[in-house]
Amino acid sequence: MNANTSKLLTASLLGYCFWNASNLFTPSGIRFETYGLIPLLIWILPILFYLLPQPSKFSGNPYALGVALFISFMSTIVELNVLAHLALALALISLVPLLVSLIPWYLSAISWMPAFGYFGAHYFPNVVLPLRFIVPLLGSLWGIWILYRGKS
Amino acid sequence: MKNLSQTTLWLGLLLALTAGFIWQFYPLQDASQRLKILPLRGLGFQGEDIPLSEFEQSFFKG
Repeated sequence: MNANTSKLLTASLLGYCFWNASNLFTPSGIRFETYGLIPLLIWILPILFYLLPQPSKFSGNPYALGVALFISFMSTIVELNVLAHLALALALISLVPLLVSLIPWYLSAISWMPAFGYFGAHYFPNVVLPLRFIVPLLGSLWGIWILYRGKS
Repeated sequence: MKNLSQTTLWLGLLLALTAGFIWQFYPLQDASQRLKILPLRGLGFQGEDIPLSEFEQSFFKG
């Protein structure tokens, strides 16, 4: 199998994870979720920063993709959206090098998940909205900084 | 990506798609407990728990 097959496989697995997490892209009617897409777009900036200058590196880490596939599949079995969102995050993370120093960016993925809205509505309802933007922004800036250092 | 990894992932994806397709014909029997995790109040909304009427209960029972 060649590099093109690897890219096709990565794209297929990403598609599967996106498909299972497709409820992210439908209007939910719950206020905390309606802004979910913008934090997601902010959160994927490090991936774009890493891949756009070198599209030939579009090939996910097979271990991360495997775990993402399993979690995404489990989300369909137990019908828990939060698992589908975690799997999508992991599948996207697989596109960049897996580094301990990127953990803050990995963890900031929670900001675009509807689970963050549910949790926040219970424990910190007045700051959920600002946190939805601040957390992915800080996480992405950190991620870009780490990836930039790795390149230079 | 190594060939073995790719083959395993392709097979896993095929299995997941097949099993997921079959699984949709076996829906959860009762997921009503999940309604309890929805927040009743938050920024910009205030809800309250209203019990179903007898008609609604018989209607949703199917």
